[in-house]
Amino acid sequence: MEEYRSYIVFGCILAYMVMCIAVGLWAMRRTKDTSDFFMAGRHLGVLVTSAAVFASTMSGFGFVGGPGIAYKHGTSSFWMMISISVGMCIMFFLLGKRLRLLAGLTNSLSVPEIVASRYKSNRTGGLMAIALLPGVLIYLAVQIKAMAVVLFDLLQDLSWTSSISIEWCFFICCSVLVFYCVTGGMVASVYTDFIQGIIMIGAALLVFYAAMTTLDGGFTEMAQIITQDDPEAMQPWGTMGMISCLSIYFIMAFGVCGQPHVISKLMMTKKPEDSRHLLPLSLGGFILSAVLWVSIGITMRAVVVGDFHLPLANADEASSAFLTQYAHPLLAGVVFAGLFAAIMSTADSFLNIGAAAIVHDLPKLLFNRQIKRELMWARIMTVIIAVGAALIAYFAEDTVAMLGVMGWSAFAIAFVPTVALGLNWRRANRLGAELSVLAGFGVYGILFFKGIELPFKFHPGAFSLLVTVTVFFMVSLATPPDDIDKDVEELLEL
Amino acid sequence: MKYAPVIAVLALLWLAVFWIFTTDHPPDALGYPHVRAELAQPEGATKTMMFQGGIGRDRHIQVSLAGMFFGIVTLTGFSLLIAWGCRSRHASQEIAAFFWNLMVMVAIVLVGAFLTMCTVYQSSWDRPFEPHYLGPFPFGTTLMFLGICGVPVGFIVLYVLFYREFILPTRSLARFNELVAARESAAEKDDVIA
Repeated sequence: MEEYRSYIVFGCILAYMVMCIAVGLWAMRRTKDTSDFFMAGRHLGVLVTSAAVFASTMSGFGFVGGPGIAYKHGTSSFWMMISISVGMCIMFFLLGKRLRLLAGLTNSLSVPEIVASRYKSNRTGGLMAIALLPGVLIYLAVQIKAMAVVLFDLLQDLSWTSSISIEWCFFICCSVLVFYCVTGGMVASVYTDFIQGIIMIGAALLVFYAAMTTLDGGFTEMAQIITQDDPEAMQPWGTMGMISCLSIYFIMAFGVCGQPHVISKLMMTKKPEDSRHLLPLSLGGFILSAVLWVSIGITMRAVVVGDFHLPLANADEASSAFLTQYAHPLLAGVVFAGLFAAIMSTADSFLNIGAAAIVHDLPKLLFNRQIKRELMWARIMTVIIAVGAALIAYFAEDTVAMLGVMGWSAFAIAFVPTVALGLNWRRANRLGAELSVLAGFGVYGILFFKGIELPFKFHPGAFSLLVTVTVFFMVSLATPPDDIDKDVEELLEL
Repeated sequence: MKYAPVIAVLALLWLAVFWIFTTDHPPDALGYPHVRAELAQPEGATKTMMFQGGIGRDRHIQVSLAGMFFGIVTLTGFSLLIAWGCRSRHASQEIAAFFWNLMVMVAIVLVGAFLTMCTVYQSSWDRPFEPHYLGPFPFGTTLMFLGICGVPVGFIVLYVLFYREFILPTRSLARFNELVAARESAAEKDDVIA
């Protein structure tokens, strides 16, 4: 079977893409208006929503970048992953109920619209929509580039596709993504997320088994090999050290409730009380799929330092090297399909919220107008955003990956105080929200673009988020509260 | 006084950051390229592909107290945020004390797991190449997975079990439906007038 490895992997990915297109066609019949297109009609079940939440959280980074960092820095990498357990708790306790209630009361279709309703300020909501757009484009560009590069590498292994260019890979990946997002909107997005989530969990569990059997002594032997090479790499802080890991933990855990592509899913459930079951299911799915991150990361570091495998010229190749060398071809096929699933499940969410921001939020919040034939324009805008992101990914090269690193922190700075804290604190006002975002972006921009390294590699996003939250509280306390709608005010206390 | 916990947590976080930023550290404390050059920068690599941490005591001794302080304040702050999210006007008063005691217990266990992990890690400094194992990993690393990642499951259990009493009580849900109905009828009236 080994000689057919490339064909089996290619077959799995082809089957996965056909499935995405089929879901898009099926969802097209269920997408009748913009409420369906942006919010899946707000009638999603618990299982589908929970899969969408965890699949959106676990992007391609968890399948490629995460194991790569574990190879490079040892256990330091796992602080990004373990932070999600407390992060999801914070997200659901602060937002699980309130976002859904406010969306139901004000009939909001997006997070910026929720902000506008909460602060009774179209300007604040509009600013959030504007803040969202660059992040969406950059994050989307990173995802599209990752898909194209992975597909290009895979096709090189097949004799009859080895001459295919990277441009064609961009075209194929974008076409599949755009097809199901345009036809089925958020309905297609969440139902593909559901299937993608199942593929990710299945792939992760199979990888866990394959990794455990790579060396005779399993993970214990691998841990001992790594410890003999460098004890710190296998201890809790890894090679990056205590402060660096704790600051990563801070920004990742607190930042979850500021990720628009994740929190927007909380507004889509059929009933407000569904959030009760969403939390355990979402976190369970995430932890199961994150097993791949740990398994491949530890295995590849152990086999390389133990001289069982050649050193990797690129740490991000840890996953593909493991799958090529230590996994059954069928498993490799499922995992590569899982990788595409992880990337696409994040990308489709960004396409959707980007289209909502341009077609729905900006005209309504900044110009007090509603576009006629909104559904048609939403579909057109989805295509335009995807093409724009693909062009950015193609021409900007390394800059995109660098900016992609900013994504999580940038969204956290923009949405954690304004949404997660603002929806729980009546005293919060629009001046506090706007100034905190400006202060956070200002500090983060200076640290990031000037290349300033904080002591002990303290994460610049964590520092900026702390600034943002402090400014938000201080300004809100120092200035009078806003006059907001009575029913919204009451809802904040429910 | 109502905002004292928030101000206290923010102040303590800034104090922790100030403490960390004003602490010295040896040049290699944040990791250095692997001593085997073929692992650090193999053929074809343009930058360092594998790092080492070195001697735990040397790299962490100066900052371990500040780091533990930062970790405790962070986890306490997160627990307070989670508790803050439980507020509801119609929350059950009968079992409130029981519920809040359980919340505090989970928070204490979370902070306790963190402190135990730090202590176990520091105890491995004497024999770094022969750490105690718990399951397949060194004791501290297992505590990282089971403690820091695992203990928040306690919050989830409380969220699921006490959802109707504290997160979204039945009276809150009923009031929400009334508010939605009132807004819809007001919108209908506006339409008629228009």
